[in-house]
Amino acid sequence: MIKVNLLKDAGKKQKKGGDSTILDSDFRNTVGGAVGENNAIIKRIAFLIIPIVVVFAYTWSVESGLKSDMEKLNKRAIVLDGQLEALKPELNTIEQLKGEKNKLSTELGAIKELSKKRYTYVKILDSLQSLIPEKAWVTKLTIKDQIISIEGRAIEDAIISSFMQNLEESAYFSNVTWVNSAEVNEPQGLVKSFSIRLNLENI
Amino acid sequence: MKEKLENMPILVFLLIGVAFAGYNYMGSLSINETLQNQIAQLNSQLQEKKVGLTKAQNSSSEIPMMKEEITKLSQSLSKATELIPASSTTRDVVMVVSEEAKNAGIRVTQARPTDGQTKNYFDELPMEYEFEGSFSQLTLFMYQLSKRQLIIHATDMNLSTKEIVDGQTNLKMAGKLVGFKYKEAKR
Repeated sequence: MIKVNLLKDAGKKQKKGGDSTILDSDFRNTVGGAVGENNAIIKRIAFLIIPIVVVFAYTWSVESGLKSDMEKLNKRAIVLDGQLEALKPELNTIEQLKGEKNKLSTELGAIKELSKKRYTYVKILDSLQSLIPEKAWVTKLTIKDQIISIEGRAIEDAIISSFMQNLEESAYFSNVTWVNSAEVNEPQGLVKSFSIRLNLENI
Repeated sequence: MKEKLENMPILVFLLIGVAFAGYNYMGSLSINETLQNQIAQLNSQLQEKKVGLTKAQNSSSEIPMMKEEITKLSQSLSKATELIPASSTTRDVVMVVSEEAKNAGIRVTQARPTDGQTKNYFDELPMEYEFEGSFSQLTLFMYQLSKRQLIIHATDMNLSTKEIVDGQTNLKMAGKLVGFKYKEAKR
């Protein structure tokens, strides 16, 4: 029995014919074969590259988002700067007006303070007149800065003490100090001379 | 080599890929952190600018009000300066003092001008005085003096008994009376 390989000739004919389908099939066979052969390597390379690409894409998107945010903020800052710049002349006017207002207020305050202080001595004299007890009298009164020195006479020590208490209770005086007291002979008889020092307050 | 690669487990490649990706991610984290810090700074600057702008806008709307306030203050000041006129002299102080001394019934026993100090907005016109009278007369004199339009301050006062006549104590009051003169040139 003779066996004939029909496919052998058919294959030769196809190769000689130069038909494009034959070429494609060749190409497919070649590339397919190569891919098939390297399939394992490609898979491995894909496993290597994919995580890198994914992370790169993610970080790129985050970074570009942040950069665009920054750009927006910078633009907004420029707009605000422009608006502030436009208000500068008015701000300068306000500064000038504030300066003028402060100057006027200070001057007015200084004159008001002067006016207030003119009543100081009247208040001191009036207060002393109302605070001194009946059986005591002032012989010398010195007022220097905020310190008052009083010298006087009284019938007895208790009256001096009462005078001092009155002074202490007054809103205008503080730190009432008994400097000294001594017995003296006056035309009225034997009396106590005294000396008191105190500070002026709230006047 | 090819065979070696083919025989290596896929997990190794995956791990290497993840490691590279992780390295890349860590690198990007520091960049992102820097960017976020810059954004935070920009945000705070922007906030400050916004506040500044709002303030500026509010302030600019206050200009007419401020001008009105300044006009009122100027009026008040010009009224106040009548209390220490720029034209005041020592003579004016002497005149007011003698007038009030006469009204209160006290005697001016001595008077002389002394050197005054120059302040920011006014000059002092000081006079050294000595008066004689009763306590109530002297108090009345000080009261009348404080009621005058012209501001006169009493300083460094010294009251002492001069004499006692018929049970009436006559006091001597010595000290400084200071008038003031507004410095108009300053304005």
